[in-house]
Amino acid sequence: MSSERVLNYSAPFKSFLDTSFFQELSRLKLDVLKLDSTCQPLVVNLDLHNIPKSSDQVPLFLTNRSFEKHNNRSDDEVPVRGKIYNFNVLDEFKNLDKQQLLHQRALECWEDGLEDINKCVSFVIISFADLKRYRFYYWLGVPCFQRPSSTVVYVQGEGDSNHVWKTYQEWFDTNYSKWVCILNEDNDIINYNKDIFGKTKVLAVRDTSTMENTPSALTKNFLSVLQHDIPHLTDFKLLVIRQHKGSFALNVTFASRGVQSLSTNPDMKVAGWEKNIQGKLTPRVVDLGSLLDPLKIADQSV
Amino acid sequence: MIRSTLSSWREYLTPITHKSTFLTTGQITPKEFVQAGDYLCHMFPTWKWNEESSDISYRDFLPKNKQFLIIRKVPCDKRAEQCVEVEGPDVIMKGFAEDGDEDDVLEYIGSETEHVQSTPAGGTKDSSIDDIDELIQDMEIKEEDENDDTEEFNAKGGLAKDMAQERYYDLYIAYSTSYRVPKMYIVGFNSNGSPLSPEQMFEDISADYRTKTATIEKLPFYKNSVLSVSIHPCKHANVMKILLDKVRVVRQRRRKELQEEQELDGVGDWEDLQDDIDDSLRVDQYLIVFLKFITSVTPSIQHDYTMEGW
Repeated sequence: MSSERVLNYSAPFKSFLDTSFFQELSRLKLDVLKLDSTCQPLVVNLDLHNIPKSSDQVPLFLTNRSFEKHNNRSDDEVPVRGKIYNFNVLDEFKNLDKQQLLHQRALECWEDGLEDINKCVSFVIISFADLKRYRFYYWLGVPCFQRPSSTVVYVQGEGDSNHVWKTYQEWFDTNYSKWVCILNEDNDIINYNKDIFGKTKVLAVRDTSTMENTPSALTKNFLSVLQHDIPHLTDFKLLVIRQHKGSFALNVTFASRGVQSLSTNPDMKVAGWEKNIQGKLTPRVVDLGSLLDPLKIADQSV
Repeated sequence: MIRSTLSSWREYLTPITHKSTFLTTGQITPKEFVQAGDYLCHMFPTWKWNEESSDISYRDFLPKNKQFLIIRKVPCDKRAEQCVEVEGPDVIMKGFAEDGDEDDVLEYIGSETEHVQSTPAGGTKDSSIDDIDELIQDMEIKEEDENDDTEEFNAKGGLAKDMAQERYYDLYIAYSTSYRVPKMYIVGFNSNGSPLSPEQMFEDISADYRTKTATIEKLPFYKNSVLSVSIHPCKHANVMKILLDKVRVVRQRRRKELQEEQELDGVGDWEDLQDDIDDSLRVDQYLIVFLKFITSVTPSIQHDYTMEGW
């Protein structure tokens, strides 16, 4: 039983973009979208069962198939939807108010989340493709938001109860589109429902982090929606469910600061642009000349 | 006397009855490839068969959902130069010739990943990207009020230098029809999750193989072109045969020792007549041995963590 502490979060995903993703982006840009720079939908299937050991998060792996309209996921994968904004000029990419864009996306997530708590998970990519030089600038963000009135979440560890994880894991496996579930009064796992939750006060969330006792920042989204649904909630039990190992339980206390606003469009604290390996918030650039340029490929081939 | 006759008969009969030649040539049939793949996935669930999808070009002698094997995002935390190199297959073979114990042999191959010198190579930066660095830095968002999260987001901050070296590989095993052996393809990503160039991927192949057996090649089973580095399979069969022979010899010896012990203990020696013991590796274990061999080619790619059970 650990003492009370402020809850920390880990980044929700680690992004991987492979060459076929950039190829497909180039193809779309040249043949389909041309100068159209409206955002395009993307979808990624997460494999929560096999997370590389060294990784702190689930890989968010984008390939050419991420552009496909029909999502053919395999049995134990969890789909996550996102959007890509591909800009026509580098300056547009450069001068874009990136925090503002993320904020806007976060508000969309929040509104989706109010409708259905399972829908407040998404990602966004901004990109610029220098097609002449096969150079791509991109940045991936996962909007994670928190209402300022509730930034402090105190938690207390719970004793181990390994035997119960399995039933939750199985529930999340079968209900692959769900991120949250609760217990009803008969101790059955059911879909999120704020009235029943008000009675049982047990919330379980699907987690994408592998760091010990640290849930992914997506948890903030679920907790924000929860707080909105049940404004006077102070204590409840949070179960962080991981499909492989490392699930844990926490006793959560919301320490509200100031007056809670009930507006549906509150002032959100938003974070989520992916940090680079030095921990800095910068976009990425990748030179794929040696992978895509037909001339260079011809040179390399044996 | 009877036993020796039996075992020589068995030697002679095994390949025929199994209708495969993997013990004598080190080659396998497509059917055996599927068998071995099933076993690999079963034992080590991080390995998976491909999913059926529209962008795969199928080969009709393999089931659609068993065209090739994949393991994704295998960590690779240093370059091949930084591993002490117990050079290629020649040494492995030497090791076998004089070595006795099976476990030793396997450990020996696996061990190359473990003897590591920590020689941190400076950040290898593509010069063409230098001019862009500034531009990118201009775009950095300084965090002002993300106070309560940053701590955790930055949990790795102190290790940034090591982390920057970290790479991730997707490994693919397909069946090579011309050589009748499995063939390995690797596709790499850098620490930020962007694709690696072939030159960068070559850094993770041990020097011995780099010039000889590693080739830049598009993944043959995908319709769109994903460039990979493949390990050319021209020598695979020979290496595999040597490995398999060694396993058989070791097992045989071990069994004999066991029997002798039993005879000394007075346990009836009729037991060994009834079971037609096959000392050879079963064909479904083929890929596991194959991966041990691949570890010597790509010493720093840690797909071998799946092999802890061995």
